[in-house]
Amino acid sequence: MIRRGAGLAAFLVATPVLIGIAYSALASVGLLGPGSTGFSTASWASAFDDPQLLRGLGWSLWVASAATALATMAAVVVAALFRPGTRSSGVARLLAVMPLPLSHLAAGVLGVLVLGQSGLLARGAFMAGWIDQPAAMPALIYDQWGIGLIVVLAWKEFPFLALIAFSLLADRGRALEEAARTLGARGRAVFWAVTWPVLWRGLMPAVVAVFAFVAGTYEATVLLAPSDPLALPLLTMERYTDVGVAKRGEAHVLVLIGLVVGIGAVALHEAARARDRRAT
Amino acid sequence: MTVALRLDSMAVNFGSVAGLTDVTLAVARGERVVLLAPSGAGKTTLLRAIAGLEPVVNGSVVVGGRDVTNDPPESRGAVYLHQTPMLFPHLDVAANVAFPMRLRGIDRDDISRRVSELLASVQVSELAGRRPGALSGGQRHRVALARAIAANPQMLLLDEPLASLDPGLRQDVRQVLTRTHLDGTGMLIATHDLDDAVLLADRVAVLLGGRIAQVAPAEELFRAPATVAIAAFLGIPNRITGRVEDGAFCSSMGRLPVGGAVPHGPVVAVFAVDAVTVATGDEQAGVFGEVVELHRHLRHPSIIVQCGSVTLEALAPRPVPSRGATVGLVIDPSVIHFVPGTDDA
Repeated sequence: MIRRGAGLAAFLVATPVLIGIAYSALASVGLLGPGSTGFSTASWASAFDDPQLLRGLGWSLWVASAATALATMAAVVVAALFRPGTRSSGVARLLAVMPLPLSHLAAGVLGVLVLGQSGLLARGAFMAGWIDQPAAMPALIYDQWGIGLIVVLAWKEFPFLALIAFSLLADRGRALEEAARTLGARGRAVFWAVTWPVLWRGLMPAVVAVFAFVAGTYEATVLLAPSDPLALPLLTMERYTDVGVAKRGEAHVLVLIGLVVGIGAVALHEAARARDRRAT
Repeated sequence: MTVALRLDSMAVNFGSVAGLTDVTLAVARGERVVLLAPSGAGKTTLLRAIAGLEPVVNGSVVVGGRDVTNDPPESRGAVYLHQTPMLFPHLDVAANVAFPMRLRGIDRDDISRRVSELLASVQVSELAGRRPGALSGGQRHRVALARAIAANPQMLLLDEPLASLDPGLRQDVRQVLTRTHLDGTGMLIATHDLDDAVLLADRVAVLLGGRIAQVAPAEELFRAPATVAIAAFLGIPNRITGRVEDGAFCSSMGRLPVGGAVPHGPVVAVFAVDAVTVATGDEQAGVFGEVVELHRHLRHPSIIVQCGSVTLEALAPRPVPSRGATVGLVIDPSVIHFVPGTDDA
């Protein structure tokens, strides 16, 4: 009975996603949607002929990887520094959850206000005498490396990972650390032998989720990313809103490529988990 | 006695309230002492404080002759084993056991040899390459014990090592613990289980009311508990309040002649179930009463007999008398222990 219930729940969860995928797949070959002209692989050929695709995909993967890595590192450091169960951990947890209710759009706006060349950071640096004028501030938004976008996305995603890290250390992690300490391990040895492996193993599913989300996020990207190269989500939206409806097929191709990125990350994670299970 | 652990008037709080107030105890090298206490008495807190995982607010902790009261856990020489074995999940069994030796920078070949010896000593050699997730509860306990021994500690602190195990695994882990004899290491094993205490201990330390109430070999402890509260905790059911006068114990049951060194004045007579038997035709009953309840223990069924205002528990004869039957009881005076004072347990 439980098995049947679980199957039904999985079906209900998966159905909207599967409908979306099916729609994009059919629309990408001209069988559905506005401008459909019957089966054709022209949209696929056109999307892959466009150099913007690979550049946008590469740029989005870079931003997603860097933001996810930064958020993960910050979560690990904060969880390790502010030990669960202490008063300082309560303060750290409070600070960590503050960005959680903020929307990605608001985080993007905040990024512009703080990191832009006329933003708070530039004005502060000017007032401190570090730069001659606010405009002399190195570009942190709309820049080729996506520094501002990476920082904003990392800041927005870090609380999610930090809360998981806190709970990992509060429960089993703490007992394992105690075991290591009474066996003779000092601070650094405890971190590398226990804290890091516990966090790494426990955080990985959430890290994969963050990566997949960040790779396809639109709101902060549209506010902070450069126009060249155009990030994959922006390129997708541009194709979809193109005046020529024929471009919509390409937009669906890009949606499917974004999907492959997310599924690829999950598949890599599952393969790593399976390898780990085999080792036991 | 070469001391592995000495606690002098040690006090530890339970969070922000006073918990353990005055704990004094010594464990010799090679000795296995069981810390016996009811749930919530502070067994875990005491072990954690010895290991340096809880702050000591008063008194001192001496491990291997060195005062470690203010030392961090890693330099105390006391390994604490959690109730649920805390094996590192990302390391296989051999790497878990090697862990404390790697910390000490021991040569790789020596580590490998020692790991093999230790795994063989706890009979899990064939599991060396497995991860903890693939081990049974008993196997995990064995590996945790091997890893603790690998740290070469002065003291092993085992927190309820048998509490979460089913009967088969309990027996398994008990055997490992009783076979494990370490000349240079003392063992302090916390438990609330009387059977475990009897089976595992060279001596039993009873922790009651925030202090060590009595330390004695198990047999002596059950024969002569120091206080009525200890007798009650040990489950000794027969506790009769009375006075010793003129070589006899006087209570509402009457006079019972007693010999030997018995305290005079108000006392509580404490004796186990097997000190009371139902009189057969050849014996003269000392006291009569009505059977009010039957206890169907697996090994030793007993009966509860109401003798006036006194309730006694006696071994059930065969056939077991029915409820309401009147029986005569014989009490063996040689096994009665007299505790001065009154029954305030």
